[in-house]
Amino acid sequence: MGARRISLVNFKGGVGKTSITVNLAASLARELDQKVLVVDMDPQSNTSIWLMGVPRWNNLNGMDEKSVWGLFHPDSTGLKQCIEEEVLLNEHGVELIPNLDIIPATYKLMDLEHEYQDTDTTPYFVKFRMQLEILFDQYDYIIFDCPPNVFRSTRCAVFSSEEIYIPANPDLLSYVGLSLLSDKIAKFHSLTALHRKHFAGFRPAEIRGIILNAVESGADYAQILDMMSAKIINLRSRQVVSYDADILPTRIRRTVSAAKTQLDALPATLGCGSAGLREDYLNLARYIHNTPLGKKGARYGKR
Amino acid sequence: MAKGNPKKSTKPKVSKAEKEAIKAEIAQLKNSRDYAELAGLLIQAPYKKTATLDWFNKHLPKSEAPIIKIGVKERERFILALIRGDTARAAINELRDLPSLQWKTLFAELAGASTAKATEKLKALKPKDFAAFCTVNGVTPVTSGAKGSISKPKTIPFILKKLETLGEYLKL
Repeated sequence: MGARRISLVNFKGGVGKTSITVNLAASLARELDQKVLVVDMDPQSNTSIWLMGVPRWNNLNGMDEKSVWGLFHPDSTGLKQCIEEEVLLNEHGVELIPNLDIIPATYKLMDLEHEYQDTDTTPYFVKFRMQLEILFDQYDYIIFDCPPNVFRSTRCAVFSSEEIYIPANPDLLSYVGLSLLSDKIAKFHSLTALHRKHFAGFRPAEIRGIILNAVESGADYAQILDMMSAKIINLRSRQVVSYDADILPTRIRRTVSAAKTQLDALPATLGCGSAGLREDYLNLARYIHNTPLGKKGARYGKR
Repeated sequence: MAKGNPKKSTKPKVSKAEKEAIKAEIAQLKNSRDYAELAGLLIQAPYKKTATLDWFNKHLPKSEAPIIKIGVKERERFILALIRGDTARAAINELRDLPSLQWKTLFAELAGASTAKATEKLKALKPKDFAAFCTVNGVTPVTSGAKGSISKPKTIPFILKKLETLGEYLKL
């Protein structure tokens, strides 16, 4: 069966990709008892800093072979070295969520975009997946936090995933670019079709929905939500998203405490932030956990 | 006079094992798509309009004590009762107002279609469906005749104009 592999992707920054990655992963691991691996694909390394804490991440930054960067240099390091199994430690060094691991990013990952060159005929995204595939049977979930673009880091994540969720704020600027994003991903799938033969049972990642973030309680989002729904229907009819893609019914509220969870370097599930925020992330985890991918043949059909 | 708190003595004793079993059952019920979906919908502004106190009590199984006010705990009790009674999906469908969703979906589909195809599809709608389509998508239908029935030829241009606007947004 293997892990459910999920990428959180959006062109736009500040839509909650990192917050949702951290809190979804923590809720799945802690509340639903799932074994979760987070892979930080963003050179800004925010997820890594959040989950590891500043001092530990500072120690790691510079030892790039122990990060995602190490996956592109399989000769120089073992995969095990790249995985941080003890994340979220308390002041006594006790692990708070034992089911949660991370392959962290360092600033070095930025070089993947321009300076990294494939040394053989195997493209970087194939190399990346080949390394990671060993872990597919060791986890229930592998969650990729992507940078706000669809360049190389994101492509690696997409090539290794089966599901994509798009975090978005309920505003027009988050809506802009949804078509471009889905078209870019569809194009990437068609360009990489030949490379899939390296992998048994390969299933190209499907966009499964929009996760609304920073939703104000009581605000009327009818107009923007109608537009987003229309967009999803349009994309479904063009078969560039999953046949069941939709705006997820579970939404993440905007709270003052959301910022505090980052400051405290703790996810909401550990009691940081408001009870409502914690419940929002938990419901998101429950919803995703109980909405597995349909059969392969069910793709791109009528709803 | 009896000693102690009379209220306390009437409470049935629940053993530790029973408490654990109840806790496990609740955790299992909560770990479902229906729970997550209903919990998500019930706190959102558009659905709160539908989910009034009467709506809650209408859907609540008769074996449950009625809900007096809608709070966090009451919502949770309500959702769990519906999942136990296997009626959560029906409540979700009612909240999502599936009949109107059908007309919103058609509107979105027509926004991506050509004017000719959109016109053809709209003309093919039954008068009752055409009226529902207009209501759901915020189009004021033009009426004609002594009976004041909806005129499709006069209303369709307004729909096409609205579709054109949405079509522009869909390009983004």
